Amino acid sequence: MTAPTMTSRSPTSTQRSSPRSLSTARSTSSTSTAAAAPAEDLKSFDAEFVKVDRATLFDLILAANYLNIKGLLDLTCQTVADMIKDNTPEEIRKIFNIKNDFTPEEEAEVRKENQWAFE
Amino acid sequence: MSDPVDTSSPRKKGRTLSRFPYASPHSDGGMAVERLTDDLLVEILARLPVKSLCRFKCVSNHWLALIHHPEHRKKLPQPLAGFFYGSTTTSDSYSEWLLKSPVRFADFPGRCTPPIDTSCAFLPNHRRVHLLDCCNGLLLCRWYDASAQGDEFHYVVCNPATRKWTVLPDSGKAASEVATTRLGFDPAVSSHFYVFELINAHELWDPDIVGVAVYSSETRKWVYKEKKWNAEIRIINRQSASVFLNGYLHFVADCGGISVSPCLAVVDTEGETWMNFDVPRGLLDGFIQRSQGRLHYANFQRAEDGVTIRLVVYVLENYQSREWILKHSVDTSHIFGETDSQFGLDGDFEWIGIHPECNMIFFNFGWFITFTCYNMDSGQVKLISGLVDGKPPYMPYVPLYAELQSLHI
Repeated sequence: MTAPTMTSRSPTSTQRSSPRSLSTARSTSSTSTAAAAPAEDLKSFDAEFVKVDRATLFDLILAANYLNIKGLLDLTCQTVADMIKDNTPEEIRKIFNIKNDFTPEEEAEVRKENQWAFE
Repeated sequence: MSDPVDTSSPRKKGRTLSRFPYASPHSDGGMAVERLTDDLLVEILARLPVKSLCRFKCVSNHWLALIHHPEHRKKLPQPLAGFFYGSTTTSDSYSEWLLKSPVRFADFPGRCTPPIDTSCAFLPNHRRVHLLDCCNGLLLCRWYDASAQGDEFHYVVCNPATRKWTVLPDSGKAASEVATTRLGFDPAVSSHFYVFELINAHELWDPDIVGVAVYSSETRKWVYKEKKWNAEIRIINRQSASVFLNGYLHFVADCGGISVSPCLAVVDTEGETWMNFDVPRGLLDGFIQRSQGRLHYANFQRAEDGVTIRLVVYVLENYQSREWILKHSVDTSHIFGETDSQFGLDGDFEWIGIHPECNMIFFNFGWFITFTCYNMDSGQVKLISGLVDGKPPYMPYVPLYAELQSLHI
């Protein structure tokens, strides 16, 4: 993730938002005038950064979206995608707090049409 | 990007954010996850493998609608929609080489999105359209203008999902010189496509390829480069599948002068890198296809006992070592049932394709035209449907809904 471009904000307006993303933003933006860190260092930094529980990850997605930090949004969305890619629909419903509003027949039909994805 | 949902009364932005807890009292991020807007959900879904995405259509009506929404389809990976194939019903004097028109399409079960005009009726006034190749959602056709005489044609690259097309300039090579024309397009790498014309030597009998003319949609020009393979390369079958992957066009060819053996011939979009290397030996010519981001090679081999025949699938490990890794091997008796040892491999068997996203092989076998699917993971063999009249080339089609700058009316 490249250093996000941050417009200057007063500390008080954002001091109580997700501290992880802000400290990252501050630490990387403070070095934005210095030489860019090696790619491997940034990559392992990113990997460590997203080693958080799912609740925090979703918070980070919302914060990244709100603060318009594309790199953080890419990273967090990709991390969630990687986390959920092997889940079943029922597991997805639990994670995203979704009610199954298909009738059994409807669900069976959609499942049948996408059978290859379940094998 | 959209703003997070905020149903409270107007507050200063900072104060709103402070209401998000980090350790949610609800199950598993209950608060934050419910505030994910559809846009953000699509951002996550767009990064999933297509197999996962298709499974998650079963989550809820909302997710199903989200995944099928015309705007979101442009961002989301798409599943295999079906195969283009040739027709045996119409006849032509040079029918054995050219695909018949109109283009035919066999639906792959699992498609429940709005129908795509795969007949390419949206192409302007034409006498005939011959489908030459299909790559990652784009089609390459020969377009015969309704008002033109004889065999004059133009190359057209089109996208049936968006109904956009573009006509290519003339390559400068006579049709009689062209062994085969193929399309190269990889949206994950570039929004530009390439068209390769493999040019034959001026020999009547069994010419080998002397060069390649490549069209780039970026430069809108054709560039001809002479071959740099270290052997004579000959197209075995004008309709055999080619693969565009990692910026290279790959095809199985006959290699060598006096003693001929099959090989994999490779050329890049610049006409600068040329490679040819051995393929695993087999009873047929061998079939290549892109699947799950890797180059797959399928063929039949005789087992050590000299009698049993096996279907084998290899994957190319890398271009430097030229190593093929055996991915799968199964006795043909398991797939086709007990048959005579040299069961009609030559006449009765046809490769159709390998699924782009999972370990399934499609083929035709037997007297009657079938459409059979063999699952390498489960070992299951399934008859999908009967193709009424199908013949090669068969081309897997995965729709591309994204708009491309390189296509314009």
